Amino acid sequence: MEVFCLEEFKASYETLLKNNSYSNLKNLINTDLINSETPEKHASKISGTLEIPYLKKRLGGSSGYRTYCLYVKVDGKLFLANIYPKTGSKKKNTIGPAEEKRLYNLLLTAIKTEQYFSVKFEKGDIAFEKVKKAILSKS
Amino acid sequence: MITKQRKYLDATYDKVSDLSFHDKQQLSTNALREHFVNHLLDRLLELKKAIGKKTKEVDSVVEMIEKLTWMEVDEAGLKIVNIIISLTRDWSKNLRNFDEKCLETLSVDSLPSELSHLILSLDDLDEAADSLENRFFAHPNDAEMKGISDELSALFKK
Repeated sequence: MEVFCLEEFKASYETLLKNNSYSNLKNLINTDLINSETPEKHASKISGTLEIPYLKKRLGGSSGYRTYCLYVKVDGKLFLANIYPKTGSKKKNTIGPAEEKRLYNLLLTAIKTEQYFSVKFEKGDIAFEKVKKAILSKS
Repeated sequence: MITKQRKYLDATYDKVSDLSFHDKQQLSTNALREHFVNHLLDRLLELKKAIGKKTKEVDSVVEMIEKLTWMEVDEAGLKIVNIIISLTRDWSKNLRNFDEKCLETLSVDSLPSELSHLILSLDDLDEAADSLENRFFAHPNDAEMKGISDELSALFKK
């Protein structure tokens, strides 16, 4: 799975990693997103089509994390909009429809303007790299 | 002559002496204490099992609701979805009341960890009900959401 993320996701990830309680996050991103062939698992379809669904995905079960993302099934690409924990000091309870719409819109804008990062697991860490080439024209 | 008072005094002595002797023997061997503690632990174990089973039931419904969000439903289906949302929220509310009763009855130290797992699963259940509502009722009636989906489909069109 080719995984990309928006600036908002990257900023949230970096904030969470400063807290030891969230040290399992990097491995979860690796196993449940980067190395997953089934992003639909443990995910609700919020909107979009079956080919390009907008998802809310659970990472690490009930006490884990939630991420809103766009899955471009045919290309095997996953665009992550944000991430938040369900427990600990940075926990968020739930996101309402207005916030879901804002994130969906953010995904569209970022993809259109090519403002996103590639997300890889390298040497036991998550590596973000600003995408320079147009992913859309590459497809 | 044994007076009424003397009889009562003897009866009281007999009772106290029997109980005192009996319990001194029992407690010195910890038998009585063990009996009470075992009884309490048995009940706590039963409670843990019941909560664990309930948590599994909640988790299975969360997964069913997640799968439901991937389906397209007609008008009649929407009515059923609407009922599922209400029933889910009602169920969650009742289970949370049960949680609160446990919290009122048990001290924090004796609360089984199973209870905190159930609370997290109930958060998932509430979230699942909200997702179902947004997926089938809030977002489909929002022209902006539809616009974003259309633009994304056009962007990734082969």
